[in-house]
Amino acid sequence: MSRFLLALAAAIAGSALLAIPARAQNAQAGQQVFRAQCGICHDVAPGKNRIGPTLFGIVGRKAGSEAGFTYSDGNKNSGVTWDETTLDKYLADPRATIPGTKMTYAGVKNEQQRKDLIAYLATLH
Amino acid sequence: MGLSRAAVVAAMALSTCVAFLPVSAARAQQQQTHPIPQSIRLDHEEAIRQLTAVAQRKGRTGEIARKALEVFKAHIRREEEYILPPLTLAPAIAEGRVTPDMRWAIAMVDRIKADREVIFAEHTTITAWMNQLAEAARRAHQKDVLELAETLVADSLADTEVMEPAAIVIGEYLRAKLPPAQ
Repeated sequence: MSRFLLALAAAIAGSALLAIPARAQNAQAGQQVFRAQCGICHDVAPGKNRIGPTLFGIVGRKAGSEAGFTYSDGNKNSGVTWDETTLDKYLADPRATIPGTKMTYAGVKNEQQRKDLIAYLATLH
Repeated sequence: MGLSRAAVVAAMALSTCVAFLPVSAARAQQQQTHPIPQSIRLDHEEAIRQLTAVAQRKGRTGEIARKALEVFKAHIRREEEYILPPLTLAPAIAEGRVTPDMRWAIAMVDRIKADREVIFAEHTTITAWMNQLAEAARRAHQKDVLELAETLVADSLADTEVMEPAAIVIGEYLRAKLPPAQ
């Protein structure tokens, strides 16, 4: 009986360990995507706007609302709040999703990379 | 008969040339007689000089810079052909001078408006290359290359945010102020 409990505990602990790195790995892969495709324009530090606005706190933020960044009318008037769904659509094809955006970025065409990137962005709080 | 066929072919060729003459002549005139603001010319020359220097390096940054340089030069050619020349009229217009010999800028601005998405796509391509260059520079600890990539992307944003809209404003102002062309 005690052997059974030990095995059960080990199985639960094992699956928990497996689950945590899997989530972290997505965000880690997303960080690589960010560095390779977004890092020239965007910072992730709070309040640090560069060519693009800081992406700190992007998930949950209203589009065009970061203080100290001059947005296009397209972004300001989009009425979008960034969440997993809206980011996925925008990052797939920014100019088609928000016409007039000044973000000179063709988008992340690879769906897995996009999901990883969004997972990374969600950690920026 | 042979002579007559040759004459017909020659006449057709001539008429084709004549038909295209106004467009090519206008474009040639745009290229030859309308420079860009000197400050921007210097910026372009410096950017090309620096990117060319990186392109001559061995390794990943050099490899990326060589590819980026081709895209960058093509974009600069387009800018110098018809995007930036209208900006040379800004000082005169700011002083309240508008004269019929400024009309050439309207045709250029019409081209900018027609090509806006193509121009935007070029900026997108340049940004993508600069992103790659920056990432390679970080890995190679080449701070100068990283700074160059960031500068060129900022220039690209300045084109989108300021230069192209300013040129369009100039053209539309001239269109409103000058009597219609005969």
